[in-house]
Amino acid sequence: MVESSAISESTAQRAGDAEGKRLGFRLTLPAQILVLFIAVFPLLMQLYISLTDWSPLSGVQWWNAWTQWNGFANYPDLVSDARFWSALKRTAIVMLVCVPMEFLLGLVLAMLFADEFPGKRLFYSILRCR
Amino acid sequence: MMVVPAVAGYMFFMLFQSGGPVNDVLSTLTGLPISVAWLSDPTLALLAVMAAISGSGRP
Repeated sequence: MVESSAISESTAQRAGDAEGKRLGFRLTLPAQILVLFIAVFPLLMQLYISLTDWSPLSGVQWWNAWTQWNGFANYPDLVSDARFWSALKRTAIVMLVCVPMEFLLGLVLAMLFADEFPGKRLFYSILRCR
Repeated sequence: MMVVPAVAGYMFFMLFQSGGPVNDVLSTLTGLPISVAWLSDPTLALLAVMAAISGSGRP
């Protein structure tokens, strides 16, 4: 008797979990569709266009880019382009300098604001403007 | 400071003008008339952009 009630309770709980998951999925569906169009769709579109000779100035719509298909010919071009490597080098420099700098600035500010000092709330409002 | 990137870019663009606050502060500190073209020189432009990124990022 006790066992059967425990079993029915657990099945009910499982059904509730499934219901909650379905509700969660339905509630997040608009955001998921938005992310699909903002992140996933442009990524796939760019991968498709990267395999063609298409240009926005060619007068051909991007979904007809397959008419100018050139396979993987763009990628060897990219690797042998000196400007690409110099841009990549600059990006690496900016990243190597800026990420530690941002981290240090944030750490210093956090340590400053860990203690009490006159005007702390005012400075907090000024610096944390979002 | 976490600000909208376009606003941060415009803020730092104005800060780094040749008659802008950065050169002004440097002139006051050194006592010499300083007018560095921060955004015209390739090397200095990289430094200015890195300063802008660091200044407008997480902290």
